[in-house]
Amino acid sequence: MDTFAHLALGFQVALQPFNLLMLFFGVALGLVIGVLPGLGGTSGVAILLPVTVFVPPTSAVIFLCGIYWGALFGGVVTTILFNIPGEPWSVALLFDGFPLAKQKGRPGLALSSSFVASFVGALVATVLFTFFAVLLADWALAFGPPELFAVFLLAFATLTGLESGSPLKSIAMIGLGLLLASIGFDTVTGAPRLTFGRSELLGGIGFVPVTIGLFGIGELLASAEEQGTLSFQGLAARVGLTDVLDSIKALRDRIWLVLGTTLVGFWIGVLPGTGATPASFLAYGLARSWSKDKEDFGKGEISGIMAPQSSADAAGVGSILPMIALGVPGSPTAAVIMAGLFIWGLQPGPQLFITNPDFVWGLIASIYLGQLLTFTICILGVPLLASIMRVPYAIMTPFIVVISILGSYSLSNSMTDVWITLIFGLVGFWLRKQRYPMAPLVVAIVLGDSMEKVLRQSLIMSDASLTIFFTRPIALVTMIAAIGLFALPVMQGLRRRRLPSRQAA
Amino acid sequence: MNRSALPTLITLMLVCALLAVACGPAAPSGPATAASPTRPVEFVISTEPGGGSDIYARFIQGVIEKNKLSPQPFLAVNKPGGAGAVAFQYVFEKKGDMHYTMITLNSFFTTLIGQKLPFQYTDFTPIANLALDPFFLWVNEDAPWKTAGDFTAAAKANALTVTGTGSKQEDEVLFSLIQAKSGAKPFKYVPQSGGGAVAAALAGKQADATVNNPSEGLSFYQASPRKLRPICTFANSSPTAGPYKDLPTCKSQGLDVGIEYFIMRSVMGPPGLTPEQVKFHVDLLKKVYDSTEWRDFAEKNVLDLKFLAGADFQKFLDDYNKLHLDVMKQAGWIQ
Repeated sequence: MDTFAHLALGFQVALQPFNLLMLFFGVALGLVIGVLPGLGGTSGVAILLPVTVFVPPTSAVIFLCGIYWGALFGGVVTTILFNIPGEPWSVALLFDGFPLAKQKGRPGLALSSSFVASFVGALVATVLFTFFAVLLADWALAFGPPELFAVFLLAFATLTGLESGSPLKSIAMIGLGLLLASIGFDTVTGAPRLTFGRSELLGGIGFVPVTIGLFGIGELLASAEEQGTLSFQGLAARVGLTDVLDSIKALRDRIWLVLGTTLVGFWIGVLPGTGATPASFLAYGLARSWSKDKEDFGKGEISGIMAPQSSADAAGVGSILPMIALGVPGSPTAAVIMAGLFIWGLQPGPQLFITNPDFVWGLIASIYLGQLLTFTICILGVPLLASIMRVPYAIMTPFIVVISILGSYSLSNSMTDVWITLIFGLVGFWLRKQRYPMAPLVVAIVLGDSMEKVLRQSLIMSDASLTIFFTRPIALVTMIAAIGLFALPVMQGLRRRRLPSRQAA
Repeated sequence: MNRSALPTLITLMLVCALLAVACGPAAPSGPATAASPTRPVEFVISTEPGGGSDIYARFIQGVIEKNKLSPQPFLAVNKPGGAGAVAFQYVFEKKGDMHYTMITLNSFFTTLIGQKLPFQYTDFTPIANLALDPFFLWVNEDAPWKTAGDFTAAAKANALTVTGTGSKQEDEVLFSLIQAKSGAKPFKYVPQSGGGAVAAALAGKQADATVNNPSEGLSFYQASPRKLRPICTFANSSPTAGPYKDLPTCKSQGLDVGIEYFIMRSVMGPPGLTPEQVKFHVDLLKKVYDSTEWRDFAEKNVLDLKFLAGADFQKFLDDYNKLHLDVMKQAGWIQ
C-alpha cells in the first residue's frame, strides 16, 4: 500500500504544469529523433543532456526519458514505410513490418499494430517497475557472462532458420554476419582485427548503416529493376480508424504472445548492458518459434510486428530500472540518462528512493503519462503517416535515398558509414537476386559482437572450460532451452524428409 | 551515434530559449580576440555516451553554458571505438584548429603505447588537467577479506578472478602492478565495457575484486544491505571527507604498488595550437575548475582536485607516459 501512496506523490510531481510541458517537449523531440533514421534516441538524449542544467533534476529526467519514449515509438515509422530502420531496436521490425505495408498494402495497420504493441509493452513494464524495482534489479545481478551467453544463444536458436530456403545459404549468411561483427577493436585482447591498418575500421562496422544499406537501398535497387511493378502503387486505399480498430482486434487475438514477449523484453532490459535491441530480436524469434504458421513470418505477419515492438518498449522501460535502483544502466540510452543524474548531483542507487522520493516517484509517474501521450500522438498520426505511401514511386525513391544517406551520415558524422551503407546496398541487391536470406546476416551482425564478448568473458572466468555454462543453474536451464530449439528444426526437417519418401514408396 | 546538424540546431534553439527565459534578453558576449573561437567548439569524447569521460565532458559543457564562460558554445561529441583511437585520430587531423578539444583519460597513454597509430602523445597540444580520480581496491561485502593484507594472502594462495574496464587499459595496468608487487598468482582478468558493468559484476559475485573509482562503486556501497566493500585507496592519503572518509591507504596495509596511481581527467587539443589559443582554453577550464558546480561535483564523486597547465601539465604527462610504458613492458604487452 505504501507504493500507492508514493505513486500518488509521484503523480502530484509529474502533473505539475512545468513538468507536463517538459514531458511534452521530450516526447515530441523523441518522436522526431526516432523517425529520422541514424540519429538515435541515445544520441538525442546525449545531445540535449547539457541543456538540462537549467531546470530542476526531476523536470530534467522527465524530459530526457520523454525523448526515449518518443524514440522507442517513432523508430518504427521509416522501418515500416521505407524499409529503413529508424532506430537500432526497430531493425527486427524490418522482417514483417515493411512486407505488411508494401506487399499486403496495409501501412496503416502495420503502424498502428506496432504502436498498440508498444503501448501494451511499455504499460506492463511500467507497472512491474512501479512495484518491483529494487527487487528485480537485485535479481539481475545474478546474471553474469555465462547467463547472458545462454540468453544470446537462445536468441540465435530462435532466429536461425529465419526465412525458409537453403540451410547452407543461411549458414553462409550467419558466417558473413559474424565475420563483419568481429571487425574492429577486440575488447578482450585489445588488438585490432580485420582493420587492414585503417583507423576508420577500428571502431568496427555498425549494424545500423549495414541494415540501412541491405534493406533500404537494396530494396530500392530491386524495385527499380522490376521497374516499380511491385512498388507503392494502389496502396492505402483504406486509411483511418479501420486500421486502428483492426490492430486492436489483432492484439486481442495475440494478447498472450504480446504479454509473453513483454515480460521477456522487460527482463532483458533490466539485465545490465543489453537493452531494447537484443530484446526485440529475441522476441521476434520467440514469436516465430511459438507460432503454428512459421511460413507466414517474413511476409507481413502481425505477430512479427507486435512481438519485437512490445518487447523493445518493455526493455526500454526496464533498462531505466537498474539505472535508478543500482546505478547500473540497462541500455546505452539509460547510461546517458544516468550521466544526467551525476550532473544534477544525484547518486543513483536504492537510497535514492529514500533521499529523493519526489524525483524517483515523479519519474515513475511520468513514465505512465509519457507512454500515454506518445501513444495518443502516434495513433492520431497513423492516417497521415500511412498516406505517405500514396506518393508516387518516382518521387518517393530519391527521397528514400536521401533519408538513407543522411541517416547513416548522422550516426557519427562520418562518410565511412555512408560508404558502408552504399556498399551494403549493392551487396543487399545481389544477395536478393541470388536468393540468400537477409535475416540471418542481420541477426549475426547485431548479436555477434555482444555474444562473443560474454562467451570469452565466461571462458576467462572458467579457465577455458565449457562446464561453466552447465554448472550455474540459470545458465543451465537457458542452455537446455537453446539447444532444444536448435535441435527442433533439424529433427522436424529429418522427419519431413522421411515422410515424402514413404509416400512415394 | 552522434551529433548531426538538426539536433545541434534544436539544442542551440533550446539553449537560446532557456537562456532567454532564465536570464532576460542579455545575449552572452565575450571579448572577440583573434585567439578565441569564432564558431562552436567540438568537445570530443573517446567513450560511448554514459561512460566515465562522457559524464565529465557533458558536465563541463553544462558548466560552460550555465555560466556563459565561452563566447561560443561547446558541443560534446562522442567518437567511441578502438579504446580512444578513433577520437585521437579525429582530433589529430584537426591540426591547428582551436575549435576542437577532447577529454582524455589514461587510454591516452595505454592506447597510444599499445597500438600502432600514426601519431604519439607528444603530437597533441596539452591544455589542462582538471582532476585526478583515485582507484580503490573493492571486494564483495560477503568476501572474508577486510584488509589489503587479507586480499594479497588470498591472491597468493589461489588465482583470483578480477574485472575491470577494457583490456590492457588502466584497470588491468593496476592489477598487473598489484600482482608484480605482491607476488600474487596471475589474476584472471575479465574485461568489461565500462565502470558501471564492473561494479555490477562484483556486486553479483561474478568476480573477486575490482579497482573501481570511488564514484563507480558508490551506489553499491551505499545500498542497504551494503553490496561492495572498499578495502583501501591507491592514493597516498586517505579521503578526509565524504562517504569514504578515513579509508586506509593500500600502502599502509602493506600493498605498495610503488606509485600513486590515478585516472587523469584532462583536456587535450589538436596538434599545433598557438600559445594564445591554448591560453583561451586554459583560462576557460580554470573558470570551470573554480566554479562552485565543479567543486560540488568533485566532492560528490570523491575526486582529487588538481589543476595542472603549462609546464606542470607537460611534466605530469611525461611522467605518466613513462609509467605506462614501463608497466606495459613489464607485463609483456609490448616489446
